[in-house]
Amino acid sequence: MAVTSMISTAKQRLKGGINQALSALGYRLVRADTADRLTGHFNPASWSGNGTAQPRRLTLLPAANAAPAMCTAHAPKFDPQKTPSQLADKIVAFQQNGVTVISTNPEKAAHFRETESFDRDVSNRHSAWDWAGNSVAPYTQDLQTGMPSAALVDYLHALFSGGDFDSFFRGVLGCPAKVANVRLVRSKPHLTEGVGPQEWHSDGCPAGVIRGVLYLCDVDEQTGPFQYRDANHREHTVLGKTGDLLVFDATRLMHRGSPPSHKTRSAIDLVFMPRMPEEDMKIMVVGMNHWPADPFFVKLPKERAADACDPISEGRGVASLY
Amino acid sequence: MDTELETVLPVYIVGDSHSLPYRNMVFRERWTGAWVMARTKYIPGATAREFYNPATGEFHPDFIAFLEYEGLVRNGRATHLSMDEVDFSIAKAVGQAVRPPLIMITVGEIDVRGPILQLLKDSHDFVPPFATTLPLLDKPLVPWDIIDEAIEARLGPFIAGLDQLVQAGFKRVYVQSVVPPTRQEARIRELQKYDCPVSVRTKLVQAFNWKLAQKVRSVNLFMIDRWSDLTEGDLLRPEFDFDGVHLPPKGARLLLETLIDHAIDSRGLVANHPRYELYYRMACGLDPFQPAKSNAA
Repeated sequence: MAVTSMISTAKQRLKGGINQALSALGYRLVRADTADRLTGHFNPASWSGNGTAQPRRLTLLPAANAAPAMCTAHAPKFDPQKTPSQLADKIVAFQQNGVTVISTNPEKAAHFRETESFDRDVSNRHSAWDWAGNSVAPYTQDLQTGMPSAALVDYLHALFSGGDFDSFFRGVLGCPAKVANVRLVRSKPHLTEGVGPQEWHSDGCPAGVIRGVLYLCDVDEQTGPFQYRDANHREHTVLGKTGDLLVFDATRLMHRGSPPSHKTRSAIDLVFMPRMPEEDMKIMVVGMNHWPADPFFVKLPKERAADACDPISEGRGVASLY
Repeated sequence: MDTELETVLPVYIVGDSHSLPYRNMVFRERWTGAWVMARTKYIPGATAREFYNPATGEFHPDFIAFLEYEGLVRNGRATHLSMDEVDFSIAKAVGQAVRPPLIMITVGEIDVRGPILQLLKDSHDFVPPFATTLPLLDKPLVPWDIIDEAIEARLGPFIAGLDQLVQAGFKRVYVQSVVPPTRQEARIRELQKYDCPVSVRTKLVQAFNWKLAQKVRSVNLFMIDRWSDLTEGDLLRPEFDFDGVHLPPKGARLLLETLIDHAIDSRGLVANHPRYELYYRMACGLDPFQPAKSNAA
């Protein structure tokens, strides 16, 4: 103790002596971090506020940003005895297989097949930085797309707001759903290999996002039916009638809209995402986009004119830049 | 009055002095009409070799400082993938979609001009393993293996760092190719204190970029390159010879537009899965912030 005290006293005297000498020359001895703070150069990262220096962390921790293996993980196992529903068997089928087929009004579907305009290719005219979506340029000529009319949007709003579908989505997702996108898709017959959605793929949907296809025509083997592979890699083909709605977990199941060999298939592509309990049903229309980057901040992308997305017509001349 | 708020698309550009021509750059991109704004950080003397230390797993302090300052990293984690309540609250206050940021790194030019060019100087030439229009001079040849090894030594740590960035959730990182060197012999003499023919030094940059592109691709990232637009006969076009080292802003903008062109068609990467998980839990009436749950891979 005595030695420690002596050393401490000696240090104090030494500091005092140095300070006096420096003071005579117009300088002052100050700790480096104090000087930094006094001169405004202090580094907040190295100063915790309680006098202890914290070195900056220079490593980065791993973090995943991957789609879940299945998109409906938070739905409790459905018990039709406890929660009666008109679509109870469909909820059970979805939970078991990741896909189910629900019949909707065939007359309405046939009507929309005739009245809706499939007047676009697959170029993405609604590209937006806050949405995942297709490439700007078209990737195939075998698909025609279209924007749904107001009448179709109204019909879908009424359909999915109904009690049957409300209980269906609560059953398969564990929460209500809204529609993140509606687009019309017409698959023209062709004998070549399918590309894009006609190739086997998994969508990589975010948690809570599931897909739907509403057939606007009867779909047989020649009309390019929906196909999926189950957990045992067995291939299944889903034939359907006009008005049938397929709802499926597009991440859990490898799937494709098989290339139609002889007949045109007309359908409505749908993306369902979770809806907060206090939120109203909403139908978003975003062309060739899939889902918003961030579900908490959703801004609908604006459409651009068809020729505005053509890089060739705009040119890439250097001279025009400045 | 209800006015629609417009925000910019930030592109974070960090690295050696080749980040400088992007400073304060703002323009509307052609695909969505969004304002693009370059947010830059010049790290004096930044090299590929010192970008990342594979032995310690540490990045250049100024690089991490930049990411922290821009709010992209907090406590060693990518904030855009955070499931912490603090980061959730920060995002709420910002009021904008949280998506993986677009980052471009500019390093490599000092690596080329420093140790690698010294192998050649005015005394040697080399034959690269790819086609080039640049002539082979009547000088002794340095075997490609030697050049390759020298480039490898500089790029190895950098690529390891890029891989680490990807693992941390930064999957929209771009690397700017090294820009074609000046044709001004006097400027090279001034910078290097020795001569080196323009064909040799340009070929060396080509070789560096050739390897850089492959290695960047190997970690699922993309190198930004407009060599054919910046050169004529594989030599730097006079209109892009700015100060003997850097591109003029119009050249930098060409590169930034290339990044935008690539990014707009790579929007499969924009989905923020951790925030979807939070959203889905909240919609299901579950506690979104479960302390035990972590988004660490």
